[in-house]
Formats: sequence, C-alpha cells, structure tokens
Amino acid sequence: MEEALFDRRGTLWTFTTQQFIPKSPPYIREETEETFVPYGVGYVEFAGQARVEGRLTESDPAKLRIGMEMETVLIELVDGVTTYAFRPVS
Amino acid sequence: VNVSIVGIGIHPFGRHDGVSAMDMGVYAARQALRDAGMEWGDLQYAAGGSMMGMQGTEASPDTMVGRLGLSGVPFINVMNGCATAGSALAVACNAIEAGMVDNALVVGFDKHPRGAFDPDPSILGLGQWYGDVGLMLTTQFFAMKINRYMHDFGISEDTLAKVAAKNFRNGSLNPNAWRQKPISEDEIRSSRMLNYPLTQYMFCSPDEGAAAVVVCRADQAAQYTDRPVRVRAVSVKTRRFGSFEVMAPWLPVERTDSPTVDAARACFERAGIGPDEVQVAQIQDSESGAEIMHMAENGFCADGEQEAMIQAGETEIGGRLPINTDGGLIANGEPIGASGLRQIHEICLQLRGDAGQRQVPGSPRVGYTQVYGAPGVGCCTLLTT
Repeated sequence: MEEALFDRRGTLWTFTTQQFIPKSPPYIREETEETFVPYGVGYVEFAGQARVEGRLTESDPAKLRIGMEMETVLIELVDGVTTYAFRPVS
Repeated sequence: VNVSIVGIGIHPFGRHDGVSAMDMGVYAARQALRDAGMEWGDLQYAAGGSMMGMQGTEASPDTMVGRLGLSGVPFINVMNGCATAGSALAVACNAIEAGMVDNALVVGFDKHPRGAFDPDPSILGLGQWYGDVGLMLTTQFFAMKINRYMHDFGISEDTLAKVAAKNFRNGSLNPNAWRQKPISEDEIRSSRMLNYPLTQYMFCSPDEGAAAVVVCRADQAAQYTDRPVRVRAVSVKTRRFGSFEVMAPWLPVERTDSPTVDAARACFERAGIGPDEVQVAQIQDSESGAEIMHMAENGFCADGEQEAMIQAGETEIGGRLPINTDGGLIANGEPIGASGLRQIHEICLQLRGDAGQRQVPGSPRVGYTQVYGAPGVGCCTLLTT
C-alpha cells in the first residue's frame, strides 16, 4: 500500500440528490421532515487518479452539471464530526 | 442444460401483514408441486433462497420441511443478494446435471421492512463512515448511473417516465402484482423527486412475496407436463475491477463492463441462442433507468438505441421485444429472494401461453430473465419451449 496525494480539484463525473430522509442508523443525523435539508451526492473524477464518491455542498440539480469543476472541502455533519465534500468552483 | 421446468407457483407480491415469509414460500412451493402433479415426498432435492431468512429475521428456507413434510430431502439454503433465486436455480440444475438427483424444488421468498434498503455498511465490507455521511442508499447509485448514462447516450426524462408507466400498466393486468393501478406518465414525472433524476413512481420498493418452480431431468419432463419449459442456461457473475457498481466509495477512471454484461454473454454463449432471438424478457428494473440500461447490458440493443425503441413502444406487450410483461419490480416490488423466480414464473406463463390478458402475441418460444444486485452481481437465465 502506498499513499497518494489527490489533486484538490476535479470534475463532476455524475451526481444525484438525496431528497428523502435516510434511515438512522446508519445515517449519523436523525432528521425529521422539518429539519431535513436535501443534499447532493456525486463522483468527482481526479484526472489520472480515481473517481471518488462524496457529498456535494450543492443540492439543486439545476446548479449541477456533469463535467463542471469541483473542489474538495470539509463540512461538519454533526457537532464534532467532519467529513469531506465537493463544492462547485464558480 | 438438460433440465426442464415442470411446475410453477407464486404467492402474490405486496404487503401481507400476519403472513410470514415462510408461509408465502410454502404457498408457492405447494402450488408448484400441484402444477407438476407431484407430492412433496416425490422430491429428491430442494434449494431455497431468502435474504431475511438467512439474516435471521425470518425462518430460513430449509425450515419449510417442517410444514411440507419431514421426508429427509436434502435442502440447500441460498443467499446471494439479488441473484439469490437464480443462484438457487443454478444449484438445483447442477445437482440434476451431475446425475445426483432426477428432480428438485427451487423456492425463493422474502419479507422486507418498509422503506429503502439501508443495510449496515459492514455487511458489504465498507467502513462505518460510509453510512454515517449518508451514502449507504442503493437509490443514489441507480440515480447516478442513469444520470451519467442519459448524459452519454441521450436518454430523455420522458423515456424514464414511459418505462414506469408501461410497467404499472402491465402490473394492472397481473393479479399477483403489488401495484395493479395504471399510473400516467404525467403523474410519474410530477411525483416526488427522490434522487434526481428519479421520482417516487420510477422506483420499485422493497416488499414481500414468494415464487417457486419444480425442475427435473429434461428426458423425464413428459411424466409431469405436456408443456415443459427448458432451462437452456443459468449464469451468475460478480463484478470485475472498474465496473460502476452500487455502494462504491471510489472507482478507477478506466471503466469496465458490468457483471450484467458478463452474465448475459455467458448465458447466451452457453445456450447457443442470441439476444436477437429472445421474444420476451424480464429484466431488473429497480427503477426505470435500470430497465433502460439493462436493455443494452443484456445485448438487446446498442447504448442509446433505447430512446427510439421505447418511444416507438417496442418494449410493450405487443412490441418487438416485450420487457417486464408482469410489471417488473416497479409493479411487483422487490422481495430479494423471490424476484428472480417471479421473472422465471412469468416467462413460463408466457411460453406456455397462459399469461392471460398480458399474453405476448405470436406464441413466444424464447424467454430471458436477468437480475442485478449489491454489491455487483448479475444473474441471467435463458428459457425456451
């Protein structure tokens, strides 16, 4: 096994939106119809490296386009739990 | 394969409160035995598939012998994801072909809780983080696969709705279907968006049901029926490196064919029959997009040709290649252990000419089935008169 550093930016290979509440567990957030905010999910292609699946910061399909440039950021899921996500580069 | 199907049975799919998964399996098994004119004691072998039965929330398939009779029959339990039923059929066919036994029962049943499948990540060998962050949903994969496919091959949202409308319409002609009400393309398109570009009515839902077949040596089929259905091939394949599969945290940039492509190719090769000879097919429609993509993956058309084929009605019951004539998963729901045998049950009805209002015209002689499931397994069968 060898560590490899990924580029910070890549392109959106495909995406969808999560518009119903995932069951918890396994989802870490326990949501209700009042609190739930849909989120985007996609694969970002890092040229010559891999396509990586992750949450997107954007959940409006009208603002997402296959092939658009994305950058890796950190988001807080619940207090004290952080994960990576992909944000459109505008 | 020198094996014939001589009896078929099905328990209606849907929601059946107070009826256990095994109850449904027993019901389907008895119907298949009756159809073959056989008694339980005549059976030499059995293979039964169930996901919930093997995960401990329902009785395991082999416990059926307590209901059907303690005859000492060897009973093999099978759990192989969405390919469970097809794998059970393969187990039975292999036992017959090996000369071990002359006949066998194949049964599949399941009973899932309501709502989307949301297994624990560890079941698929994934880290807990994958579920924590909200990625452990099969529906996201289907949506992302069809979204990319629409982008690459020009499939329209209108065509997604058309597929679901067809399957609901076919389901309305099937007394064993869960959804028996036609739903218009407009209603489908305007139903709640679950995972872009897929709306609520484009998806199948997990449910409950059972199906069974009795198989025997092809040279003995005439003892049981004058309309045997011949099993020409059964194939099961798992994913290769680089295929885009459900619940994959990452993918290599170079994409390879899906396990469905591999399983279909193996199935047609073994049968010596080509996709162009198939006259009726039941293929995995976890949602409308899956049916569209699986048309090409199974070899029924080139990528992108589905748009024109579906718009022209070629996959309707009266069309050139009728697909999911019993309503598919969209109208029947998904009891994982039973779905593959539901497809085979429908092909047997069609080849026997017993499909009633949804009978494909012209006395079809060649039928095909395909299921696909997590974490990347495909299973196909080719059946003929």
